[in-house]
Amino acid sequence: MRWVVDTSAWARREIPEVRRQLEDILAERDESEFVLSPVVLLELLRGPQGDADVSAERGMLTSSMATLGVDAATFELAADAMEALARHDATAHRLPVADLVTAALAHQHRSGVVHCDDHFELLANCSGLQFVQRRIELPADDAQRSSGHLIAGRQRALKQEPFQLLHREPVADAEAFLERTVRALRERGEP
Amino acid sequence: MTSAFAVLRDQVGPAVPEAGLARKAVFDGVAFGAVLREATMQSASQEAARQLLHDMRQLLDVLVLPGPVKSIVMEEIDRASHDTGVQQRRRRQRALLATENPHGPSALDLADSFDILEQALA
Repeated sequence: MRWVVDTSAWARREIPEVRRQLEDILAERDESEFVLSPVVLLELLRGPQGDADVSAERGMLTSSMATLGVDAATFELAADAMEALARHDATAHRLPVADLVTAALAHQHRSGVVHCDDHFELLANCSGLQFVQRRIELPADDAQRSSGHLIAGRQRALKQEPFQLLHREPVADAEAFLERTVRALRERGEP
Repeated sequence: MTSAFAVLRDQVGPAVPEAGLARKAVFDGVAFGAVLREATMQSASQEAARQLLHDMRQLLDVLVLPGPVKSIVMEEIDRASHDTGVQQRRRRQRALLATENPHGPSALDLADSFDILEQALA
């Protein structure tokens, strides 16, 4: 069984519980392996900074995992999935493009998807795409809260609401707000 | 090798004598495939395994063998090549899981930011 590993799972592999679940998937069968969706590869390459680090990360990922091929049929499948999702719920098709393409690839290549992302459950159940999805459970206990990942997770959650509100404002108002905020932060001596 | 013969024994049933099973293993390419897979697994490196498979393909080109036999052997080489690739990637993936992942949080953060943007614009 080949498993497309989504950014939501692979980027968290330093969390012991996540690593253990990923190792368990590899150990399930002799032929179990992780493979890359090209969009996941691009998402993972946004992590490092500088050409040396990006090249090293790319080399490490592509030498360890086969990359599934994308073609016109992949995008046809993704568009079909969007139609099916919109029939299911009026706005259900407004998913991140990376998740749609990854799910379409999994269907096309008869692979599973390993993830920590609700979108893949929706895609597996309501989009018409046929693929097995496996959710990696994240730890919720206090001990894990001290890890950098969960601090980053809290920061992401904090950023989410103002981000969304800002994008609903007229551009001029949003820019003025951001300028005022940046100026205030600079005056406090912060970068 | 033993497991390859066990699979073949299951396929042909207990009535076929041991010598018949061995002959079938040779002519069906099972024995060849098992030896090849074992040789590639035991290779010192990925490059050595690749070289072995490459040499086998070249050798097959120059050997005077009936077409069907060549096809069977070529299929076994392809299968061994595929299996070897899978096992090598699995080893690397296990090794990767045990290493540090300094760029993971940034990648996740950026992926989430773009998700939020897409949802906000939707």
